[in-house]
Amino acid sequence: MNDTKRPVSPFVAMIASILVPGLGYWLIGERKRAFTAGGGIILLFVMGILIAGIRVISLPGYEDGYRKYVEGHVDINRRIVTVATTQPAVAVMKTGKTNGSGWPIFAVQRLGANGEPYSIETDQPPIGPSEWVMLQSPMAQLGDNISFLGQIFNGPLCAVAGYLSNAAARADVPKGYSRLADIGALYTAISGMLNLMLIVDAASRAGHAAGAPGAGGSA
Amino acid sequence: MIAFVPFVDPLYGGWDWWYLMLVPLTLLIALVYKAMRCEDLTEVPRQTLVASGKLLGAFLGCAAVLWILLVILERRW
Repeated sequence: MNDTKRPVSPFVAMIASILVPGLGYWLIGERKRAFTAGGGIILLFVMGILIAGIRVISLPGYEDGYRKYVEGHVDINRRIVTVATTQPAVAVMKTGKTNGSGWPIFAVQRLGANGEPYSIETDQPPIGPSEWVMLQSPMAQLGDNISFLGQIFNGPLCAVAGYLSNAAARADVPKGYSRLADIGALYTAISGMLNLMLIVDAASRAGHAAGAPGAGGSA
Repeated sequence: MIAFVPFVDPLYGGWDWWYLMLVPLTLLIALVYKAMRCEDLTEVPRQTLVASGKLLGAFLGCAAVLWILLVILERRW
């Protein structure tokens, strides 16, 4: 394999490394390094999925493969409580009817599991439209999926695995909660963090090759 | 019994030797790190083995210290 150095913008090397681990090295002509480092990262990620199953990639803001929403309701003590749902309310309308206690009954239009709208009548409607949890409390969602903070740096690889994970969750594939599954999550999170190092190093080497000062690595 | 599907289902979680999975983990971490840092890539295999050995040594050291602490605390209380 011929390693001929080529001038590439650090920005291009960085974007390429985000897209595919090692592609930034490949573009600047360091093909052996691309195979070794990029291949190692992809192998770590794949081994993590083999150990812990595809559901080790747990996208924040999703529950059992469906988008998770929150909405406010008024309880019997007239306090506002937050309720989580995977079938968001999109419209609340008055029906003009009342229940046995004289409470008004509302028609709540929701989106079903496969996106089709349906309507139910209730005397405890949400006080407004449902909001996706990632918009309502993003940090809490990330905190609940802490390994995702590492996994995300695998770029599109993580996005594809996340999509497949959601599909598996909808098909009732079980999620691993054993210590071995934790090790699998560790594999995928560390592969992402190593890819972050690789992204920085590839951009640095590209800058060095292009003549920028203070770039390049050493053993 | 439901068939195991690789990459979809998690591996059997009752395996007592789970910590052996730390060996390939340290090897791959060392491989990727050394592939990034070594200017001469012919040095990578040797340096990978040395670095993963150091990592495993550090894991064992931490485990030994924690185990000793646990024994001391158990005797005291």
